[in-house]
Amino acid sequence: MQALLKIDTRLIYLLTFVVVAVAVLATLGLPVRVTPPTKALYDFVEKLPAGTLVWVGMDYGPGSKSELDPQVVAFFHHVFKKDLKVVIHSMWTMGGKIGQELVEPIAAQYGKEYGRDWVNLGYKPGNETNLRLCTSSIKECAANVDHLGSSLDHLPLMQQARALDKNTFGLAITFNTGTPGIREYLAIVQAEKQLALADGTLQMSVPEDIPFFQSGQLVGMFPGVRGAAEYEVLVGVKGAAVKAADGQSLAALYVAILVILGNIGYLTARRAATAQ
Amino acid sequence: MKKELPMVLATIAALSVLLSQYFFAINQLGWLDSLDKVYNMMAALAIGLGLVNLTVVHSGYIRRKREHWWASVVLLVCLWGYTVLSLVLGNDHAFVDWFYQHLIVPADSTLYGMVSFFITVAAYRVFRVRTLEATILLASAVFVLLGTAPIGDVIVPGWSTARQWILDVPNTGGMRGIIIGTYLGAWATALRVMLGLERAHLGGAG
Amino acid sequence: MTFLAQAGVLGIFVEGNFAPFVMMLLFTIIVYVMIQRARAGLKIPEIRKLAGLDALDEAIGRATEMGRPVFTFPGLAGVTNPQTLAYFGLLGHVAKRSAQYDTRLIAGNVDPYVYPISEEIVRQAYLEAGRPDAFNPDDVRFVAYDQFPATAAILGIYRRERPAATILYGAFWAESMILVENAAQIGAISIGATANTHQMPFFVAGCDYALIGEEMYAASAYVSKEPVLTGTVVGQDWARIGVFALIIVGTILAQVQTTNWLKTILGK
Repeated sequence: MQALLKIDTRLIYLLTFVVVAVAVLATLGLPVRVTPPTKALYDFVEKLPAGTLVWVGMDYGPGSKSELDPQVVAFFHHVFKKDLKVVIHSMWTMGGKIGQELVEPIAAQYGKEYGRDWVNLGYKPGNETNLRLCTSSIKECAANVDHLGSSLDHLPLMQQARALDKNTFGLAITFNTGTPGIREYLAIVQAEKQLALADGTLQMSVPEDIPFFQSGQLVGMFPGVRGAAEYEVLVGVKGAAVKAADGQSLAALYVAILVILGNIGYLTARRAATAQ
Repeated sequence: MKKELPMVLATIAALSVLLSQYFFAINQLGWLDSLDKVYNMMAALAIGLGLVNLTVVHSGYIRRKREHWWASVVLLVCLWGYTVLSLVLGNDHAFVDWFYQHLIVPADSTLYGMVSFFITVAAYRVFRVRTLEATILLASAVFVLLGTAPIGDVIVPGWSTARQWILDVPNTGGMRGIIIGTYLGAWATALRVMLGLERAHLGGAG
Repeated sequence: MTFLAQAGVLGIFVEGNFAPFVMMLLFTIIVYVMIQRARAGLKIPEIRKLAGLDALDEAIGRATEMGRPVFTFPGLAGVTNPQTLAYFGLLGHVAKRSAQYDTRLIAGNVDPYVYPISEEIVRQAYLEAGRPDAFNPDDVRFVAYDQFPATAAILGIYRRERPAATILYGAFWAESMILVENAAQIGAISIGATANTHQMPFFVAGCDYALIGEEMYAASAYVSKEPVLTGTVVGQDWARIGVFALIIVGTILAQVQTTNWLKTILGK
């Protein structure tokens, strides 16, 4: 039994790989129950009138694509279904590019036209100071160019989207993993500009961000990949999140079993030491 | 003078932001916007500075034939190659995009994926029923872990609701305590910078 | 509040920022009083022992004995993040000690703003320690401007240079666990400090010494033993007591009154 205390690290790595691979290759299709933060976000978007502007912060890098991409995809299905208009902005170098490749096919699916229904400003350097500048003038914070380098003057949507504030936008959401991310949005967009704010974050950051949902500073949240799976259920689209949630299930079970095994080994060793 | 001038500038900039934040009349003067524009320009320039620094440091490694100098060659070729390609062909050109899709995305995702391996091993090593507190921590961690994944509800219906309660009540209480303490600490640090008590950022041993 | 509104006081402030201004002012006054007490030589409480900061000298000493470098890294945040400012205070101390012990210090940086400041701090520290010749600008490095490329670069430094002590002090995210586990694999002592709540469990679990939350902000006061800096930390604790009292009063009022005047004032 005491051998359970010294399981080879390489074996743990190997089994982690096997467990996740099995979940990716086989579909378990476990039912997903919708939790309050996701439902609150869905309900908020549901109530926005058609034509309302939504600001989307793509504040993550390729490393977090596996967890945040399904959230973005589920959200855009809902947004385009509701005929809302979107401006995408990124404080992360690769965020603009990720946004472009995710949104383009969904926009095409719903017949949305670039420049009229959605615009991608792309990556803008300056972190929170750039975000603050957007609250007074989007044209200035974006240096008057979008992700593709076109002038904002040629994009009809940008005549309507002048500044990131509550008079112009109905909702701001940031899909984020770190700094700059939700903290900067909370301080500038929510507290200063009092614009309704939502958060798409990693599972790991949920315990830290949930107090802001509790306090009403966030109108809703995507709590990790599970949040994306819940949103897919609510919107009625089949995406990658439900499958990813299966992987999460198996991995969680595997970690729980490892912890139990480690503790059986630990208690056995302790009992043996006491007996001696 | 070398230290005093930056200190005075930092204090003036900090006070301008602070007062613009609180007072309506000062807010309307547009200082915040002007400072933001300056910072944005500096941020764009700083990226160039980073590029120059990497080039200088790694050219030095190559010249001196330091151990693993060939890695510096690879770095410089990638750095300048991708920069020039992006500038000449444009951000969205298929060729530029190929590098992004087939090199950057997989490499970045792989590194993020590594976290799961390390977390698994750390959970196995650390979570032990050594004391009462450690046992409570272990139990709640495993409870939230399984409740977060859909499998929790399959094992015991309503598991995710109980997990949500742990997140909403004990977790939120603890988090708020830490967040309040952290922000007070952050403000005290900012105050030390504004009052010129904390000078480490101007160079020196603090 | 009606009186304040009639007198036009609230019009002076940006909407919703009256109460935060008053809170900020009160906090500043408390800290200022504590600084003045320290300057006047009056007794102020000492900062409790922080094992993570006490371990700094031990870690640098161990690196000296082993003839291996010390590695420091401020995380991913920029200069506007207070955690990075706290790191600067610590870096000066670590650099000075490294210079005194003749131990190589490697300082990694992700942010292009943080990088030149780090370099200047290390250069000055070597100068103050009387070892300007020992300063090697190549050892203050700009590794990358993104999370995982930076992580990969640091893992490269770990494997090639094999530091005997790793000091991760600042704002961290998903890379923390990778850095901590790899430090353990190369047998380095690891000191981790962050105010990012989601990474605290990883540092507590994985590092030999961990500083969490506001502990990390006390670094410059703690290592310098400067009474004036200590005064600011004491002021911070008094403010914490004030906030705690406010929470208690607010909770009681929320239970006994339907219209909570405290909530109304704090919303102004």
